Amino acid sequence: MNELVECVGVGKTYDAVKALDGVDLRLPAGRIIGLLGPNGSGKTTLIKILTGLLCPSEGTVRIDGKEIGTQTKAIVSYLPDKMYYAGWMKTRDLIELFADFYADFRRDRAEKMCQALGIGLEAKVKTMSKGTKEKLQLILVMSRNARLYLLDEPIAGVDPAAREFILRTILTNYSPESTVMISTHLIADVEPVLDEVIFLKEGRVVRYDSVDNIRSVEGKSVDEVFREIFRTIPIGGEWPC
Amino acid sequence: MAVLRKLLKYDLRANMKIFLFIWPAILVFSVIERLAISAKPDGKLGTILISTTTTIFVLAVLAACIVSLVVSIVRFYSGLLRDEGYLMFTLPVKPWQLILSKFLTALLTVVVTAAISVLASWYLFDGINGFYEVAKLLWNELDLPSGVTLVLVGSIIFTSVCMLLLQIYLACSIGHLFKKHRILWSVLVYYGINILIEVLSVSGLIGFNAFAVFEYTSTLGMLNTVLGVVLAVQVALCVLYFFVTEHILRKKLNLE
Repeated sequence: MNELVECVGVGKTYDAVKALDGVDLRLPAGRIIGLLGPNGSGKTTLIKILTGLLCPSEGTVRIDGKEIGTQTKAIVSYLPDKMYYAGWMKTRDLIELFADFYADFRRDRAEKMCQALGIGLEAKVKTMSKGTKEKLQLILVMSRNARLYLLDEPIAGVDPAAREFILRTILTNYSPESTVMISTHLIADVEPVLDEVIFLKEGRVVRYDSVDNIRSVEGKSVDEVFREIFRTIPIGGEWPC
Repeated sequence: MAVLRKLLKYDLRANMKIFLFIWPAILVFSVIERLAISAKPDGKLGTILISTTTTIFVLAVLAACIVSLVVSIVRFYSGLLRDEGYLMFTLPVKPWQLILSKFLTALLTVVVTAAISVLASWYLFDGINGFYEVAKLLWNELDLPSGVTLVLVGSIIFTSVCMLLLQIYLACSIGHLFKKHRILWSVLVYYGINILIEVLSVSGLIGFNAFAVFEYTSTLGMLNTVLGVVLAVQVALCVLYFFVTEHILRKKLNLE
């Protein structure tokens, strides 16, 4: 089996509004894939369906040939766009929790990364700054030997130095057998690390292509193609050049 | 079982952060109160001392019981249906294991809080002269029924706590399906279930002509029959609440 992720006719409807509509995707292993689209295009919904946090209204989803369940959760490492810690926990508790539940978690790597970033093992989560919490969450997620990493807006709202740290962590920690899916609308920052991109617009996949193909065929960067696809003309006409 | 044990480890640890202070506090207050009573202080100052320590003890016990229930609700709601749910529902565990872990932790917390409250009260009353004589006299006067009845009453109290917790879990799970005002909806659903149960109970009693049965049985037999039916209904409701909650969290999970 070549595909790591297989979505067939996946749709999700909230109160008669279609957040996802007929998504067909077959994603191979060993790629860093950008899930790109403006706010409300369905990126988070698709990621949540892959993690099992949402059930699709229609269609089927398989990861490594299995339906979403405990078996797929064991091989998916998910970074949500919010903090998911309990306030009472310390760094050590979180590392222990990941080690307890994920067979692929590498405790030594997590502890080394925490040490490198000055995050104390006895530090309480509720006393940490927002940036430290985000870094700790990324360390935990990327310290797994997962088959599929789903990173929802990992670089949104962080300073450029933290952004660089996050991208470096992703690149140095993922293995060639794994696929990393990064959802973002900050394309210029992630473009250098991407192998493939999925453009989502109003819940539909409007393009799934390799970055090399986009550049060679169209002679444009992914960022430029994104702006063309999602361009909206402001009230009062085009912005003067 | 291994997965459940791991989940329980974290749920219990979260609760113990609070109750490792509350439980000893109740026992300490009961010791202080007993010392105050044993000292038999005279005059107005003595009366004030005893009434103050008694008030503190009673408030501590009441607060512990309320906190144990509130913590149980919060641990379920924020642990599964708010941001923490993003972690818990992406662990390779089944939803029923998550619910059962929260439930067993809550049950243990409530039961231990109640047991410590009873133990502390027992120790306190032990210091009052003649308490046991009065209690024994009352026990004999009341002419309490058979052991079966006492077991049934004890079981009903236990299943009532289980039912309360599971009904709250169900109400929270239904409430979280709404897009807005989820806590308000959870409270409304909780009271809605209460009303529904009341209506169904009364309808059931009338529909099956249950009162006619009592004409042919002794008073004790009638009491045991009623208690047995109440217990069976409560157990059935506990099972129903658990499985509906599990179904919602497995099929309709809606974390935002």
